[in-house]
Amino acid sequence: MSTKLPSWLTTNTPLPTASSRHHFLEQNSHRLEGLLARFSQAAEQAQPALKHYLPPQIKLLTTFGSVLLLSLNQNLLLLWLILLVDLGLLLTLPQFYLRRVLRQTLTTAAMALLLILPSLLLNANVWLFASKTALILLNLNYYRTTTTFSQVIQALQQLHCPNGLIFVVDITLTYLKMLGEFLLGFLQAVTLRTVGQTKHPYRTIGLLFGTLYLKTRDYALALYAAMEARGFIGEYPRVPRTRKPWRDNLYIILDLAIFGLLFLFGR
Amino acid sequence: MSVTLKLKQLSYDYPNGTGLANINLEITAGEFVCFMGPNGSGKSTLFNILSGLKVATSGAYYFQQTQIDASYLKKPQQRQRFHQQIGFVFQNSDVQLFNLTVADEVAFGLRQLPLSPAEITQRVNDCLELTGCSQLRDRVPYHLSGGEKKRVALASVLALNPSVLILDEPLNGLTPAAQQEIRHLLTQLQQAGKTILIASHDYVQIKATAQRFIVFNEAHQIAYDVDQATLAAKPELEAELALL
Ligand SMILES: Nc1ncnc2c1ncn2[C@@H]1O[C@H](COP(=O)(O)OP(=O)(O)OP(=O)(O)O)[C@@H](O)[C@H]1O
Ligand SMILES: [Mg+2]
Repeated sequence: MSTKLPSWLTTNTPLPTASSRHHFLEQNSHRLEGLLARFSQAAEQAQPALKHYLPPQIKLLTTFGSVLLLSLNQNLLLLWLILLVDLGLLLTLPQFYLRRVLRQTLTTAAMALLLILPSLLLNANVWLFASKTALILLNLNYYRTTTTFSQVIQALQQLHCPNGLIFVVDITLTYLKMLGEFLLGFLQAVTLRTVGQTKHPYRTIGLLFGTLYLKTRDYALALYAAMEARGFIGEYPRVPRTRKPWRDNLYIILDLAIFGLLFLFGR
Repeated sequence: MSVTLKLKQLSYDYPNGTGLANINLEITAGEFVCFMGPNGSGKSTLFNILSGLKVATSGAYYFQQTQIDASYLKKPQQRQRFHQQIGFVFQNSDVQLFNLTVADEVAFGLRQLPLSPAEITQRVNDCLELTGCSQLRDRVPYHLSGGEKKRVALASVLALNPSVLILDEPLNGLTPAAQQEIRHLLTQLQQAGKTILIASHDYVQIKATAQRFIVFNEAHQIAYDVDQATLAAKPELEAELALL
């Protein structure tokens, strides 16, 4: 260790920064940063809790069912029925969630509408297709907004999915969050040291993803070791079922009724 | 001396809680300030704002009389100049290193500046020597030990010759001898006119080096803002800081 500072380190004037042509990495890092920040937050704490609600496995099944119905069916009555059920569900949502679901549905539906705009103008029949798309989006957004990651896992358990599958989904979700956080850190580090023109912006991206790969590999090994150390033997315990079976049953009956109607009128 | 950093009524909110609440602060060029406080009291959040990684939810942040906000940071040239003047060593140096060799790591920022290859090599060598990393030159940063990573991260930030150096718990995980060397280096940098801000949980270790102590409380506010001399006269406050 030297005892004297080099002379360049004792001046306090910054060097001129060349105007750079490639803002590619910086611009995208800002966008990605926003996206990742949204994804990597512990979304489960950020919102008011949704207690006494539909059990996750039923919600998963009904969402899946209605999306399937909507995409396979041409019956107008059925659309109205599903819309009715959806509106009923929306009515019971707290304001925070309601606003979110509606906002997301509106924006995604507007995007979709933009895409099919040309055919809309040419062909009036497309309106059915458009409203079906909007309904599907509403259903998906409802599910996405009201369900946390741990509830997805819970739903899979209740539906008697094999432990292997649950493990894969669980690890994937943990991973995505972790990866997001690491990438965010890397991008911030790059931003801080971007003080001029990068000659090889793509090289930096390669370096980032290379390091990220090493990280995930080590993380996977460490994660599994840690789970084993805490007694994990590859089995997920099942959470006890809800104590209000009448409500779940009512919901299932409602769903079955819609399916029945489909078979009566859908031909 | 001129005021370098100034915070006015600054707050920062995370989606799930407060990060900083109503901070008022002025730091003069050439000061050596140590930030202390319980875990989660907002030290790292403050450093993220000072280095331009986060923008305050409310209130204002001035660096050399210029307000640093989202619109300022949007212009590439302004942002790059700002980043050159404020160096930041992360609490987690793991994510700060992404190059293939230690020498490349230190040269990363330098290669974007109008410097000749000889000058770049010179600066890289100087920084590695100052931080005691000369023998790590050709190693892969990813495989270094925790303490080695900390020192390489410091070297790569130092290379850009920032006038303000922000270090988030830089002495953690270093041996007492290495801590001593880094503290000595920081003192030298301060004598050369740099402003040094560090976060630390070890009052005993830093009390002779830093000249001003800013202590956060659990409500993410500033509880104390005292200088070394005042502290020395108040043993009960010193005892309190030693527990943070
Ligand atoms: N990315 C984040 N998302 C949500 N909340 C966060 C995030 N980072 C920090 N926080 C919260 O903000 C508060 C301040 O955190 P910060 O990291 O600034 O504390 P700190 O003083 O640096 O603590 P430590 O001494 O442990 O490093 C804490 O309550 C923390 O939980
Ligand atoms: Mg911290």
